[in-house]
Amino acid sequence: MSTHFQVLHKVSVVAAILPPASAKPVIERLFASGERNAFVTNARGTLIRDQWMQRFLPLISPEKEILRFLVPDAQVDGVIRDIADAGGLRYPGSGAVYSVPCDDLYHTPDFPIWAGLDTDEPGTDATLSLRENLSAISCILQPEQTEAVSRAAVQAGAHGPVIFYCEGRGLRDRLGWLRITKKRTKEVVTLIVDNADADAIVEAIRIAGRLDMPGRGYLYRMPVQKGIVNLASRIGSRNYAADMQQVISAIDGLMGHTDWRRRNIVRLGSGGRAAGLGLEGEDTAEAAEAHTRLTFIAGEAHTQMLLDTALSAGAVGANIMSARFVEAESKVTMGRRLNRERSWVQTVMPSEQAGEILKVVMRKAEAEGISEACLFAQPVTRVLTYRAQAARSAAPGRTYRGIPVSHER
Amino acid sequence: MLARSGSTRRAFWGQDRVWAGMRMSGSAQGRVRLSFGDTLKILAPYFYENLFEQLRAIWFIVAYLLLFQILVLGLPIVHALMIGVGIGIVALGLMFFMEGLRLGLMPLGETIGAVLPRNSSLIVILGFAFLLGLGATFAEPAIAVLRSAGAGVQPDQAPLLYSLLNDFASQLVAVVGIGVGVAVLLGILRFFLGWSLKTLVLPLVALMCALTVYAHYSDVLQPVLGLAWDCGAVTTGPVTVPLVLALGIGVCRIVGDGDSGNAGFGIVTLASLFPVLAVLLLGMWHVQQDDYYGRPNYTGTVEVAAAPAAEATARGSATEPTGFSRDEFQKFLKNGVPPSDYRFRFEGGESMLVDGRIVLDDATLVLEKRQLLQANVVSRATWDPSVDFARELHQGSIAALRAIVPLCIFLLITLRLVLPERLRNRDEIFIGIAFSLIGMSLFMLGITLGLTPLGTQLGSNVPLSFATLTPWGAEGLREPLFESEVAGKIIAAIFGFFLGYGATLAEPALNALGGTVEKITVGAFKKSLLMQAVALGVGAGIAVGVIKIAFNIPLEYLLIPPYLLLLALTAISSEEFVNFGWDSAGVTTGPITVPLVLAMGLGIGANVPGVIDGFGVLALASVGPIITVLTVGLIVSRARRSEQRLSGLAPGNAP
Repeated sequence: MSTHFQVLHKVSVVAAILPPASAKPVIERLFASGERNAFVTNARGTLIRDQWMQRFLPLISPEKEILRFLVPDAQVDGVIRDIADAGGLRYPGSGAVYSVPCDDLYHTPDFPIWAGLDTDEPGTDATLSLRENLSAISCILQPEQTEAVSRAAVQAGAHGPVIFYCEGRGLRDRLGWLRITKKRTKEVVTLIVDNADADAIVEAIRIAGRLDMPGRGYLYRMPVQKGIVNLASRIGSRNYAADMQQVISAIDGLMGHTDWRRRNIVRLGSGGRAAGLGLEGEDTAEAAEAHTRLTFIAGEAHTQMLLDTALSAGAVGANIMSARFVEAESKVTMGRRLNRERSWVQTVMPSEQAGEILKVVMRKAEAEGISEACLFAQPVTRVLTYRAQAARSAAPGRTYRGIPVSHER
Repeated sequence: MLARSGSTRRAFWGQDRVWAGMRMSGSAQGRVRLSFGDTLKILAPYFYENLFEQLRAIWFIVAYLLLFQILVLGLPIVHALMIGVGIGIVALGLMFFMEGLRLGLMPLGETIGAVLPRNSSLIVILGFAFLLGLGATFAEPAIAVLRSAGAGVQPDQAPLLYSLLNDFASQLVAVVGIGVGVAVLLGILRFFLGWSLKTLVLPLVALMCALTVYAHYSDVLQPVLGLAWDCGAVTTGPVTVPLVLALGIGVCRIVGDGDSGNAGFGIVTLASLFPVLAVLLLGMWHVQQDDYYGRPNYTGTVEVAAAPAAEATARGSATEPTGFSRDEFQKFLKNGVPPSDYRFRFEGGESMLVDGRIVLDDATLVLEKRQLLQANVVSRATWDPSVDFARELHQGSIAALRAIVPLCIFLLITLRLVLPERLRNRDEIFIGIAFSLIGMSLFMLGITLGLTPLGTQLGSNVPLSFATLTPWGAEGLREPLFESEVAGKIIAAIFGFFLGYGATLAEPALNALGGTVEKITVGAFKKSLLMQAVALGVGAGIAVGVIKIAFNIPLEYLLIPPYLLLLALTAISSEEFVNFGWDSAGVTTGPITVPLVLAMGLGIGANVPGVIDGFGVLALASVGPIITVLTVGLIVSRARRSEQRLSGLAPGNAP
């Protein structure tokens, strides 16, 4: 490809959701085994109260940190086991770790990925089972909707939605000074769910968040290769030896499927709105074509430029997630590490466009001589958002309503 | 053309339609062109929602004050129209100000904080911090407010206090400025050195308590205690706090491993503690130099004219109620029927116990005239004739310009020259600064028109619960509501509790702190929880302050025990709650609470014999919130720790 970027195949992004106290030992452990970079984002977990009395006590949701590592595929198993070990993931409610494979990863030579170590034996405790039928659902929402959406997802069977902040881009930037009326920060709700539950959960989120309305949010689902999920979501009564969540997942494991569970109609938020009011199918676009999520990791200074390039090359919208970049070797002042901030620019688009946009951005990065950048693509299996029926540019005489016939179903 | 969705649900103002339309029109990525109507459709809900949120913040205090005066005290509100208009303007001003903070001032502070550690040396950073602290004190002169609290001080009663307030006022301001500068410097240094806030706060508070105890035993220094502690409470106004918070948070994003438990806070705490030390030291220096009123080295000018009595009770102090007139006496002699309102009691005579009854022999029956509501509210004016709208607006704008513009210029210059860094989103930041200016001017104007007169009236009228006096704007006297003086004073304290609670919920700086805490913890610690905890703490503190004035208890007796309790609580609390809790003390007592509380303090003080000044209430109001927030922290930490232990992952026990 280009001389500026090196390409790596067979890389995965391993993400771990842990309480802040565990984050440091996990990072140290991974640095010791060869990982060279860690991206840390602050997030919060969700706790829903079962008992009405607890409502009056002050509730502070558990704080979590999301650690992301770029790991070569050969090391993924070992890394996941290390994280599970160092983070104590065999205890219920302690956290989660999962890996999502990348299609191809392009990075500048000075972007550290992994010290060239040979594969070791995997870490201790092979009794931890790595589940392989998981999906990661990410939903980008206005901050006011997060409560309702989390609650609906938990009622539909998800465990522990984890929420972090990101900046949305897209429509808001085109408004000029009027963009002050729209808050820039959005919240991203991340869930790791079984494939069996995923559809029900997506439905529940769609209804609770009214994702069919314009400007309400964006949901996408990605396949997870391997993962351990042990997130807490409810505060139940302390009188029992196990809480509801553990019991339910134990029964799931015994039965082998989730069909035995009660299927409720998911109730919506306030205002007496019933499910599915008034929308016909064609207004909600569920894209049948394959989608890809592109991620660019760059420093604060260059983010804007890369973002503009991507948007002008055809991406519809993008999110910027801020992460603290913890390096094995970082600048130190008076004994304290001076970390750097990295932004992860993520944008989801149809796969045909993805290759195109990736090339454009890489060319721009090379032209500007950006160092310490990294770009990769990951597959997305489902996208859900408001898709207004715009007239396709190929048919200027067409009216707005109507099923888009330019898509092949 | 707009896309017509099948849904019948529309956002109230059609905002969704406008967003949807914009996705369609225009080129794929160009600037969207909007018609004027569409622009209004976008702006209207934005302003409406924000205004509504501010109204929700201030409704409690306004409703409470109005209802208390009308229902409990039974007096009408004088200058009602002016007060109503003023309150509306306060809401409007708060709306602009909070949006201005969110869009302009806080992003500016964060940008500088995030860039400062990497691009400049430690000396430059600390110098910048000191200048910021110094400048902030001059930009938001809160000391002037304290002068009104000490207006009734006579030079003979408290010579040092009097000199500090009147002759050495500039020294006072300078010393407080230096204290705040040192505080900001230490606060930022703490991030670099990784010190826990506890290691700074515990010794500092212990030193302050020791000095206070020392001053307690000195006749000259004792009155200065109230001034010193109040100076600490009123520094850091609504512009400085968000700036300094944002700065700290920006720095903490960069420095350290992020395991120091929500650092980024702490500067406001130090900025509230250091001035106390500074003023006490100034007082002690003057004593040592023998340089105050009545001493050989006195360098100030003597003002012989008696200081004007506090305006709160300008309408006369408690005098004897008027008695019966001659005509009423003649009527009594003729008819044998006493006049309508009288009270009788027995005087003299011998008391004997006869057959289980108390018999008074040879007693004299005395009829006394009882004062019913004779007080007629004199002024029916709905607008105070001495208040000129244009002039107040002008003064409010000047105050706003003085508070915001120099700080912003200083920050922008630092950004441009010292750390050459372009500002992202320039237009948003400038819009934010403009909003802050507009907001602050309106809000100062509204306070002068609405809240201060309301507070003055209430401040003069609340002592009716235990003393006989003339209500504000009325003629004639009125008797106290309660027979027992102690009960009346307790009622006044309860009034003070709700006053503090309501006024704190409306404070913009606390709003900013709550929003920042929510943002730092990614929504884990909700803003409403912090605000409720702080408001309850301030209410309790003000109630205690009212007790202090009503019973004329020396400040130390009420201040040292809570601080000692705080030392214990701080030592056992987790780091993140220590950060939030101590900072919440610094942000309370702001432009809404202070006038109301001072007016009430002066009003009560004027009716209690022996009280010379209104100091101390604000200092007590600052202690309360720390205690409540730390207590909430302990409750939550215990719950969390037991749950973690259940799941095998107690902190520090990572397997």
